[in-house]
Amino acid sequence: MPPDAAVFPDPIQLAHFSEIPGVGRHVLVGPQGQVLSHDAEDTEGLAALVAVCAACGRAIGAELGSPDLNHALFQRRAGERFLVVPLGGSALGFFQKKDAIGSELLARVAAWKETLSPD
Amino acid sequence: MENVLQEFASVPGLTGAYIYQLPGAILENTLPALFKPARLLAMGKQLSKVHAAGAMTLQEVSDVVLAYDESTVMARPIAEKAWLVLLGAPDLNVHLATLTVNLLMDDLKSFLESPAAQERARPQALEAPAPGPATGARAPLTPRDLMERGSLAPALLGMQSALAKVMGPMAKIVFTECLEKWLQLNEPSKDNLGSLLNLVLREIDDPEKAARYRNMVEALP
Repeated sequence: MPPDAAVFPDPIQLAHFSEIPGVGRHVLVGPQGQVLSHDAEDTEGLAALVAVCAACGRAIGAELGSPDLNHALFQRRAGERFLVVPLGGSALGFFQKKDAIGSELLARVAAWKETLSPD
Repeated sequence: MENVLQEFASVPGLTGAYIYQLPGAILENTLPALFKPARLLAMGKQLSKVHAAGAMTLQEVSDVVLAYDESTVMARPIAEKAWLVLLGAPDLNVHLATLTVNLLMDDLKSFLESPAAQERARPQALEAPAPGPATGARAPLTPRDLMERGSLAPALLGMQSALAKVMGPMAKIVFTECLEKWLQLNEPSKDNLGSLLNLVLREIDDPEKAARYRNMVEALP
């Protein structure tokens, strides 16, 4: 898939995402930073964060020769985590539930991502 | 003060670390010399943006971790405009890295206040760009030209991608340097790719990895 191709999960796919154990509230952001779907508070702020993170993540990856960012993780001092997963040109940001194990959650999200099609 | 970043050498999967300070200085660095300052400054600037965006929205963000196929990058603020950046393999032990950062935070803060750090905090000039061609002259081909367009691009990208599988995050830098050398010595043509392969093989210390790389390149279409 070309790096800039947008992948928009349909409502059913997004519902499956929300059912992944450990996934908390989310915001789905389009290529121009627009909110496509969400169930989170402070949607605009989170959308901006997701868009900045996806763009900067690509730029950092380009410096490293790995342009495709798999995920980004923000660790808060209180222990809460927020993750960003690029989906082609769009990107999904979501909170990790407190009782979730990070590596298991990432594996489940990666498996879900594999089910998405750019068509 | 001894290089405070040497303490991170025991973290499994870590390639090295550096301290970046806005508006553009590297205060300390343990990454291999192949990671040129201009590249580290560019990464530092992007990481500072990511962290600032996280701090504005989420508040009290401690670490930011970016995971790629061939590398992991972790950034932790040490002061308002200074970040510790760790760079490692995909299997970098982030938990151990975090623990080590926590244990060394006082030392890192002390280092920032040291005269050596203050001296290095002056903005550093990026590498001067190569002088432009004279009017009417044809610009010499650069590695980037070859990688981005032209008939050799697919083969070169394949060679770089294969190198990443045996060398990890340093692959792009090593490959670009080899490409530069190759361009100085050869006409860029498919017939001369064997000499490029030899240049790259010299950069791979481990014979087993070198053999793996050779096999992968020879299997490229």
